[in-house]
Amino acid sequence: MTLTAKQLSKEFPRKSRTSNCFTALCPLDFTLEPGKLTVLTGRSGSGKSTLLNVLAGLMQPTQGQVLADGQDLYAMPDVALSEFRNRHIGVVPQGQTAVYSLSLLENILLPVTLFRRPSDAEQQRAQLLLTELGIVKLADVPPAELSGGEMKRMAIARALLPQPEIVLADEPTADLDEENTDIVFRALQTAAKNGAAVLAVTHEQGAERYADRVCTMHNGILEG
Amino acid sequence: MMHNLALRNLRARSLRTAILIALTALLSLTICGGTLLVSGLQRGLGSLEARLGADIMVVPYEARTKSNLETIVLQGNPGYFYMDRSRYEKIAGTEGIAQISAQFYLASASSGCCSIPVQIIGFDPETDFTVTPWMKRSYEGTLQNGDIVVGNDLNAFPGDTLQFYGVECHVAAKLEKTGTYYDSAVFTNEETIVSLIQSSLDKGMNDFADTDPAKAVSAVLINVADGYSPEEVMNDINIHVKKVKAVQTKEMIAGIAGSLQGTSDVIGLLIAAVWVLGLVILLLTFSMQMNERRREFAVMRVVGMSRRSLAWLVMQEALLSGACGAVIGTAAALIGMLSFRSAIGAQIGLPFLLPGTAGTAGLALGAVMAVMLSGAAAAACTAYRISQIDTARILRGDNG
Repeated sequence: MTLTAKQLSKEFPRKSRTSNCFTALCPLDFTLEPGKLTVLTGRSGSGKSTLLNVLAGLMQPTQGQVLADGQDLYAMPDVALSEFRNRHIGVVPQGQTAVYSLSLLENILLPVTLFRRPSDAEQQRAQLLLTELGIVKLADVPPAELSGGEMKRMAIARALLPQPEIVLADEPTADLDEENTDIVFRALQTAAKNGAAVLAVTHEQGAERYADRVCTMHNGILEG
Repeated sequence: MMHNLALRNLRARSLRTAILIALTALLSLTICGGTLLVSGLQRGLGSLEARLGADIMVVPYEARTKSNLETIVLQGNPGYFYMDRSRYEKIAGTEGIAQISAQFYLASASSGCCSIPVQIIGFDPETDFTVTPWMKRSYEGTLQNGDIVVGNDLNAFPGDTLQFYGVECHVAAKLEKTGTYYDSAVFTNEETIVSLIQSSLDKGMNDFADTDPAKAVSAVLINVADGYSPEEVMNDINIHVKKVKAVQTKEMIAGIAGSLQGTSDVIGLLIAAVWVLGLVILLLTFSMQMNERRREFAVMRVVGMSRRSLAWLVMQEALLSGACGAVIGTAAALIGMLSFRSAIGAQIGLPFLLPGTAGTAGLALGAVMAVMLSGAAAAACTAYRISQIDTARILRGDNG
């Protein structure tokens, strides 16, 4: 699946007297191609996360369109968009994200269990991701007992579990050491090799070596 | 769909859930308990009014004090006092009387004398207009010598035999519940009561002072003829018949009914105040929960939960905790009211008659529904706000 942004812009209203809005994204065109890992870098506040959230269908752009194989995400009603995101887009959010009443494994299976009972294949895939990301021994541990890095890897496994056609990861290695950073980028690389269109927003030095394409954001302007 | 997610969320936050359940339990306890209390008082008074059925009651002068009269009239507790039947004849001669009948109250306070300690009320089936209409709802026949009709609280049933002062009495019928002392009384005709009086005297029990027991009566009940006012007839009796006290029974009941209405209004206000307070606390609790779990809700959106499903999840949590609290509180109110109904009646000093099984069940169900609806209404505001969350801003750590 190809994700295309057309003339996308995002402005936030401000209460300041001198300027009544902040431009996070200047009008841009962007394509996320299947089978490729795109790394998006840039300074804090440059608009990277805003672009990722708009692409994920989580933030309405001020102007422009986000098309998934020609289908406009923001033209869909909420129920359809939510279902679309569940089926086709895996999002790794910024920071620590978990449902605290569920165990680590249940959190990973959440995209499936929200709608149906997981199949044997999905259970096996969850185990595989746990092993790949080095958190298999923590399967039954509640999120409150996990470290920041473990929680981050759990979020990555959760995003990759349904084998989405689009993966959008916001700072996926923020709390990880070098070894685990490598594990995570390799997992994203594998997803891309399996045909997913992958975007990783990162500050990580050396992330370029995993990328098929590198872009940079600078004050809301996309380069590369 | 993960059906038990709401339940898991409630379990995971056990303290918050316990507070929510306690709060809704308190709400339902107040609503169910308060409503049952008001209903019990109103039904008790209504029942007494229906049972009494007389405009005027005349008692011997020694039973004239206010507390004595209120005990007799408002609680249906007869007391033990006697006057000579000649006074009954004099009262009967008063102008404006349509119906008049005498009653005799016999003490049977000690179980030593009798099968069970009760109050025995003798009446004349020929003239009676208060006990007979009520009795006919349970017993169609005519009481024969030795027959008795028992109050609802007594552990005796038609066909049983009870012994009073050595006299064997046959239980002909059992009366409906009234919520008054009549529920623990035994009713019989004049012939039987005379034999009981004689037997009690033979055993050296009961003191009739200077009254000839064979010619004694305890109270005289009167219905006033059309065209006469009860007050007029009452005053006439008080002026012209010596050593008796006539009172307007329905007026006393009307007075009490008036103050009971005031009490009911106060209880209603208290229920409303507790309900409003509970609603505000529920709103605050749900609102706090929303702030505390913003990121968790954002995760749900990220993995594909729609706004509507997210709102429904919050509603499910509120309904589950609300139902649990409502059932606990209502059950506590029911257990309390049913266990202590006699004590409540005695403490208030008024007849207390709870609604029947269907009525009580209806009130309890109403309380459960009211509390669940309150919880749902409070949760609905929060659920709406949660459904409108800006997922992206929350995930970026922006509280705006």
